[in-house]
Amino acid sequence: MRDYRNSRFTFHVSPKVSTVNPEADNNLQEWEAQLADYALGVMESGAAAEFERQLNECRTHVMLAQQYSQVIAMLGYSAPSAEPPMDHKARFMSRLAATSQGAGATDVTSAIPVSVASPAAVPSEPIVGSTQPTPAPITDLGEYRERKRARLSLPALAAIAAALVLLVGGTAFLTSLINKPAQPQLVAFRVQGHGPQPSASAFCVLDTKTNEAFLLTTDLQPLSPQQVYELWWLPAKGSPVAAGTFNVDNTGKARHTAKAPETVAQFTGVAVTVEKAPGGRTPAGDVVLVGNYAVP
Amino acid sequence: MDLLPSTDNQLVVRLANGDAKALEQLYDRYVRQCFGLALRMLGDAALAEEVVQEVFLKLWNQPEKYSAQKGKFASWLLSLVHNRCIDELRRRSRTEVALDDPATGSLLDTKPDPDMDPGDKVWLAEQQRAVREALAGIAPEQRRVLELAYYGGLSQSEIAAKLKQPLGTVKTRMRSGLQSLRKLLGSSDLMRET
Repeated sequence: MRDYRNSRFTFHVSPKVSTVNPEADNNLQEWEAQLADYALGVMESGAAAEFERQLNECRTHVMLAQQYSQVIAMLGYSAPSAEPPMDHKARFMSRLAATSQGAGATDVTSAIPVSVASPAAVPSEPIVGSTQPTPAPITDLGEYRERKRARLSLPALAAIAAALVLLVGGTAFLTSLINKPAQPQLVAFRVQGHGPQPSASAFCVLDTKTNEAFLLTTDLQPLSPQQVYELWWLPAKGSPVAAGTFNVDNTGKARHTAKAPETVAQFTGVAVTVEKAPGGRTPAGDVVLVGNYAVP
Repeated sequence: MDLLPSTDNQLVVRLANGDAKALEQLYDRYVRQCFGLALRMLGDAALAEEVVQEVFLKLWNQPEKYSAQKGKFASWLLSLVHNRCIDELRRRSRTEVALDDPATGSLLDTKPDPDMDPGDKVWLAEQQRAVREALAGIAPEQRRVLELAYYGGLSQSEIAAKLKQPLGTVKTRMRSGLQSLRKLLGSSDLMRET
């Protein structure tokens, strides 16, 4: 049975709206008690499904339920924030990378090595486990706090690690740090429909060696002869830079190549607008595609 | 034309595009609160770490589960952590929940982590202050019932049995507590969508 808890924030009121006045409802207090269990996620699934079915028949009850749910959601801030172990992020990113690499590639990406993987397919089970040793379970928060206070700062740990490396003659390790893996040549990312063409999409591949972008669009609407699509490089700050114009075929597909003025790494995204032919040096028309990227 | 995102909602959009950096930013922004909540509920750091990882992985794999209609992203994310912790608590015994235990803290214990990014620390401190003030504004017996329900995953029937109080009393306190919190928090921008 589906987990009702993650859907309870979005309610859909049926066309048949109840005319019952909740203030006059003698069972309102009992209903609110049930609502509390439902909103806290502790109601049994079978009872919750029935409760939700009845809930969606009254707009006033839906509004109350939404408010209760939002209040309960905010109780998450009542817990004291706590620093996870220092290696938690590294373990998570490794697990994320393993999950992404295990996902199947789409038709567009299959022939292109990508540096930013798309979660095209979701593994049925999360990848569990880590090669790093797990610290012993902590039985109470007091022990956790003591352990946290006893931790060395990151710079101190780095200094100690460096000294140990030098002591045992770890020149090979230092050399490997200097000769870091080369920046991946190809960076691929999706470009999403925007504004008047939300269902359009595109795939963009950047070649970091030649500083070129290859754009492949789908579902863009064909334009009149007086208009063109124009690609733009988006910098972190400043105005977009023109990257050439193109038209689509009658199926909305187009291929366009553009060379960055200097390097692709100086920009952080691309966008496509509709412009008056033959295009211009500054964007004036609607944005129909936009996507962001980061060159590692 | 500035199309570069910076808010939670815009980071989620980038994440849905396969941008791992956006996920990393959201992780850096919320991992401490998520871990703190999981640790408070489970009392087990290893389990809390696992729950937090699973929640962020779920966010990566299913970003479409969040929409602005569901309220603030941060609240929604903490709800995922809360639900996952309830699953864990149900899997094992739920008798370890302590009221105002000095080791595990109470709903009023909300000190920000000193090692956080300064901007995030200020923002989180503001959220925690607002929630702390609201909780301090409701009756202690109402707060106690909310603690057992929220942190312990107990239904009102189970709370009544645990506290050896009439079910009707528990229901009244729960309802009154939530109504009061709704009024106290409803005027703040914490409940508004971003």
